[in-house]
Amino acid sequence: MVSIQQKNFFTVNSTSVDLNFTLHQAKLNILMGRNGIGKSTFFNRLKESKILDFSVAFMDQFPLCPISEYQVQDLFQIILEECNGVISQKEVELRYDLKIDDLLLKNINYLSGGEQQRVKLFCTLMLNREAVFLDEPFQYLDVESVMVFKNIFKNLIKENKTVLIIEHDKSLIEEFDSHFIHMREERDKIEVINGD
Amino acid sequence: MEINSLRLLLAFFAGIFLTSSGSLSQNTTQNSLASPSTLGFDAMAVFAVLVSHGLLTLFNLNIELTHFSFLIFNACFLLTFLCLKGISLKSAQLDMKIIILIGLGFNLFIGAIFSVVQFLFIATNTKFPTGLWFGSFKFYQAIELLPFICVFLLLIIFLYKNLSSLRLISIGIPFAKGVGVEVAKTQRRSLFVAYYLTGVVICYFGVFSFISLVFPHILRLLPFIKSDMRKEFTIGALIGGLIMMLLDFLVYNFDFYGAELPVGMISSVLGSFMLISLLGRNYFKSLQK
Repeated sequence: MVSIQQKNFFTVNSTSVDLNFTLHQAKLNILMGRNGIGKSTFFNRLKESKILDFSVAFMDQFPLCPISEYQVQDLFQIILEECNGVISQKEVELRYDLKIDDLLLKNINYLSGGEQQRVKLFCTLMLNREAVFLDEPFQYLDVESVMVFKNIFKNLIKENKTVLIIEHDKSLIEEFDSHFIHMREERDKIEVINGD
Repeated sequence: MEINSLRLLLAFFAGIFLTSSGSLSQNTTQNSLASPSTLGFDAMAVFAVLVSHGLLTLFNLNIELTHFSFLIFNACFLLTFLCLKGISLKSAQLDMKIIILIGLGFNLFIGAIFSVVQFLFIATNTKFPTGLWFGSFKFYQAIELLPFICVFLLLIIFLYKNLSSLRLISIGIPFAKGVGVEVAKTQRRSLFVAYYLTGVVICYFGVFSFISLVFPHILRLLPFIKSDMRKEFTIGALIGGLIMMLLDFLVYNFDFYGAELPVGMISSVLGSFMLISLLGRNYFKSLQK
């Protein structure tokens, strides 16, 4: 279990955000909050900050839109060559049962929403970090892909990795042993705190 | 046919610099239509030439315009540095929209006053660098190799230290931030290098339109480069240099009614057609998708 506490971590619309929450390794950590409160901005700030003393792989909401005509396999090649401690495509497929062969030769700019999510998750898994933070990972996914993603999260938790997701739909996560974190407004500030 | 080695070498460097500055501009801004021109770097160099010419004429100084322009251009570097630093304060990435807006605005401003300044100089029977808008290697000097070699070394050192970060940024800025790339730092360094790559060419030889914008796109069409950023910055830059050498070789050996066509004029005409065809190709490709 990791405790994260920081006053005035960043500001959203001139309101300061204080952190006082814990992350569990054996559970699925879920960050919830109303639309527009700054959950995605919080993730972005976490990327830039040095507040976390463990390595994190982020999967955000932004689509992959390289200016060059990258195929998916080019993307994986860059990650393999430029990032440290990564695992290969084959290893990701074996460990997490996430198939990507059908997308390897596709141009990234022409992927559908669901295909982008699969590629982004694959990149996140290749990075092989101690924690995985995902911003609305189930968006654009069909029913089958949702099941695949859920199994991957279960495998990540079994591997003792810290998994944190932003999710609004509780029905998608009811089968998990979850720990809820709330981002909510309190008087003149926003707090990120442990919830029920 | 004649081969002027020194002139061709300078053209080679100029081609490398313009191609690399285009690739850097597009990669850093994540905008495939970005170029040193849209970022205002061309305009800054032209501004430096105009100011130098004005000062040299006003004070009747006996200094080469090219060297003095590059000196003024270096002085303008400080102004550019402060602007970029100010834009990136408290942010992990540069606000490219603001930078492009400022650059485009400055570009238009310099374009407007250039005509006015040219008119004033000609009306007062004062010598004016009319050939500035169409770059040419005609009036080269051996000593000009020195600043070119310095900027070339700057490019090599920059690529050696930052190519890895550039490749990750090319996937997307949010992704690059997520894997720990210092995006703002890399973007600032890229823009400064692009600034110098463009500036040294314009100060010494004039403007070569469209090369920085179009060459990176052409390189990405080549099957042995495609989406490989390492090859775009290495082999691609060398190809850019060779093309510039070839263009200069042709204009040097084949005159037009006794006059040597400026390479910058040819690049403007060819580059504009290439840009239109590239845009059309991308449009039809997106329709097919």
